[in-house]
Formats: sequence, structure tokens, C-alpha cells
Amino acid sequence: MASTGIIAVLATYLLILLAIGAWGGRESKGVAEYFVAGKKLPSWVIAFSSNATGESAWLLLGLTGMGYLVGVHALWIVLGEVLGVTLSWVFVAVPFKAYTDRYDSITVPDYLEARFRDSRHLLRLISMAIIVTMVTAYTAAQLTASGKAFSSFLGTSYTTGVLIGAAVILYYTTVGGFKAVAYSDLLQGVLMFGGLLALPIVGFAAAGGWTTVMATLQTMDPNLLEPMGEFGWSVAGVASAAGFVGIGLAFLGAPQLLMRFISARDRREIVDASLIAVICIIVFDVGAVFAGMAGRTLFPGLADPETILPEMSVGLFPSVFAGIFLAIVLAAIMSTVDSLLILASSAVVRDFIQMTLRPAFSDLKLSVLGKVTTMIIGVIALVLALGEVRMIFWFVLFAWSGLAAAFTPVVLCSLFWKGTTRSGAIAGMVAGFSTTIIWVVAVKEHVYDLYEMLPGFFIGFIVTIGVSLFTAAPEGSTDEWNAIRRALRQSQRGPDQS
Amino acid sequence: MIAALHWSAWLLLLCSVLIGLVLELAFFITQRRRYRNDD
Repeated sequence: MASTGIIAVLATYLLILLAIGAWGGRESKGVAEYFVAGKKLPSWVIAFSSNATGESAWLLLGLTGMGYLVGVHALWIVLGEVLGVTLSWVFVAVPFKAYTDRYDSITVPDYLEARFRDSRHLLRLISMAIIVTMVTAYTAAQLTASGKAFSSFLGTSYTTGVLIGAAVILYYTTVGGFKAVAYSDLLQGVLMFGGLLALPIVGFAAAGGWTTVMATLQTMDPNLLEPMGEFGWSVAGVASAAGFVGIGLAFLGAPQLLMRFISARDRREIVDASLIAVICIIVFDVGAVFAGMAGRTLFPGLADPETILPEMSVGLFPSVFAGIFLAIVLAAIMSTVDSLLILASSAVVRDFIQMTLRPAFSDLKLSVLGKVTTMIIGVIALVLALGEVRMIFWFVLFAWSGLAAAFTPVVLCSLFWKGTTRSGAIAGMVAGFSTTIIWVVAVKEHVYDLYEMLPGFFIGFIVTIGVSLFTAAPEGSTDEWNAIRRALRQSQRGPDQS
Repeated sequence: MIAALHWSAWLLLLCSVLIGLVLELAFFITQRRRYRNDD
């Protein structure tokens, strides 16, 4: 039975989220306000929101479990994620912000349609289909994780855990919109930062210090201290390391992360946010891997390595801290789910209803429609999670990589190559997405379990570039590309000032 | 203490942290200087 202290900590955390939802709701009465907080967010918020959105329960349960299972081999994931986050802020964020401000875009499909003069809305419709499908399944899986977290920390039933998690997320996301999502992400990101800073420090101290932990791991299995792990320098080892590095590629163009750049107040906020985001991701990832390694010496022989974080929080900290760690796990889940729900809602309301069907709805009516859509998608995900549908597992395998492989090659080509065409973008998006699915279902197990993100990216780039070479760029887009690039080099605040 | 972890593991760890930090700091300092000049 959970202690009063744990329940008090948890209740406080959930109440704060509800309060943030009510606070954000005061300024979510228009489409731009509801979906990108009116493009007014400051650096701290977009930095933590970006990292908290990019890292789900997988960071806290999966990556600590990976450190536990394979030791320093998991540092390849750190390399990939730090590179992905850094390259994204340094090279993608500023030009993407410049383009989306120029086009007055509030979604990624908004940007793609304007960039490629897609008057038939094909890019919007394909984007919407991919986003809604992937997000619903991914949300269902995260709610499943919420049910399991509640039952493992508090002993409640799985159903109760799913319902509590879903109710809180749906309230503050529906009522508060993107502003509530981003500010709750800030709180959740700070919690995750604190937890992943404290856990390895306490873990190593409890296990007898650095030298003792390393000596113990060496005795348990020398491969735990080898960067190439049990595979050594073999094809399987290189494929495993490359797959781990590939996880970070998603940070370069996943739409839920690009939304943070759109929502920034201006480019100065992006520059300030970049430093915070990079330091934050280093602490997240290094902390998770080393916490798992210390945990291996403290709690050897766990049947499921992904339970190492709950084991450590209960075994090494006073009971009230177990409540804090439950809040941290929930924070990782919620910060991802809320952002995905808003993303899917924006795809339906902004990209499909407002910009494709073009009904004569007022801004207020569209924002209400956004709230209703957020609720509907959340409820569908909730029903899937309550049913523990087996299909969810399969969707989750490629949800993160599917979203990233569909959008990243196209977004990067559109930003850095003026020759990218509408046909190239459509073909690249379909090819990148399809490749990840085909790879997971039919190819992966035959090719050293190579992570699907890598072939998805490769094919996405090849097809985008290949088709673009044989089709004409939209009229005026080359001149516009040159003008924006020139403006980016010259101006300090925005391309329109030059 | 340092020898407790294989040199190649240290190299991987340092690469992960330093590549990100160096690249980011170069970007941050350059951009901030531009903003200061602009002000």
C-alpha cells in the first residue's frame, strides 16, 4: 500500500498540472494561440519543452534499462541524441523559424505547403494521415506506460493508472492548449533533469563509488565496459552502434519538435534555448546510462531491466522520494503525450478543416474545434490503452521513427537545397515513412536488427533528391530561397527586416 | 579511477559530450555577439 507521503507528492504534482491547464486556457481562444501559444514562448520553455517532448518514458525506463543491460555500449545512444539535438538547434532551428514566420505557418504541413506552392494540399493530407495514425497509437502506448507506472509504484490497478493519467493530460491539453503543454513540459523537464542528475550520483555512492562499480561490472561481465559490447568489432556490433546513434536523428525533423521552433518568440530566444537544450540532453542521457550501470551492481539479476529505475528509487531513497520518481516517470509520459495530442489536433483542424476544406468558421470556433479534436483523439487512444491492444506494440516500434523518417529528409532538403520540388517532397515523405514500416515488418530481423530509422532516412533522402532532380522547382521558390538565405546571413532578428 | 573504464569508453563518452558542447558554444557565442552588435 502506498504511503501518504507518496500520494501527497503525486497529488500535488497532478494539481499543479491542472492549474497550468486552467492558466493556459485563458489565452487559447484562437487557432494560433491554441496550437503554438501565439508564437510568444521564451527560451527556457522551448528548450525544456523540446527535450521533454523528445524523451518519453523510454528515457527513464528504457535507457536506464539499456545501461543496466549493455553497460557503456549504451553510450552510442548518448552520442546520437546529443548530436541530433545539437545539430537541430544549431542548423535547423533558425532557418526553420525564419521560413515559418515569413509564411505565417503554425504547423509543419503549413510550412511545407507554402514552401512548395502545393495548391492541391497533397502534402497537407499525407502529413495529416501520417501524424494522426502515428500519434494515436503512440499516445495509446504512453497511456499504457502510465497504467503500468501507477501499478508498480502505488499498487493501483492498471485501469485506474491509465484513467488518472489520461484524465489529467486531457484536461490540461484540451483546456490550456499549446501554452499549457509547453509550460507543463518545462515543469516536467526540470523534474526529469533533477531525477536523472540525482539517480546516478546516489546510485554510485550507494554502490561504493566509481572504482567499485567499475570493478564489479568487470567481474560480472567485461563486455559491460566495452563500447562495442558483447558483439565486439563485428558487423552486428557496428549495426547495433549505428542503430543507437540513429535514434538521435529524429531530433532533426520530427514535427512535434519542430513545433517548438515555430512557437518561439523570436530567433534570439532560439539561440538562448539552444544552450539550455544541449546541456539538458547531456544530463538526461549520461545520467540515465550511468544510473543503469550503477543499478546493475546494486540490483543484479532483474528479470526486466526496465524496472531498474523504480527499484532504485524505492531501494535507495526515503519513501517520499518514490512519489517524486513516480511523478518524474509520469512527467516523461505526459510531456510526450500532450505534445503529440496537440500535434494531431493541429493536423486535423488547421491542416485539414481550416486550410483544406476552408469552411467559414471564426478563429474562436476553430480553436473550440481544436479542443474537441484533442479530446476525441485522446479518448480513442484511451480506449486502445484500456484494451491493451496488441497492435499498439507494433505501432510503437515505428511510431517515433515513422514520424521522423517521413518528415526529416523532406524538411532538411527544403531548408538546405533550393532544388527540392513538390513532387520530390511528396515522394520522399511517402518513401521514408513506408520504408520504416516495411523494414520493421519484413526486413529488420534479417539485417542484424538494424534500427529502422537509418534505412527510413536514407531512402527518404534518396527519393526526395532523386525525384527533385527530374522535376521542376515551384515557380519563384528558388529566388525566395536565395532571399531568405541572404537575409539570414545579414539580419539579426528576422528575414523580413533586411 | 580513470583507468577503471576502458580508454575507448572514455573516448566515446567525451566525444558525445564535447562534440555537442563545442558546436553549441560556437553557435551560441557567435549569435550572441551578433545580437550585441545589433543592439
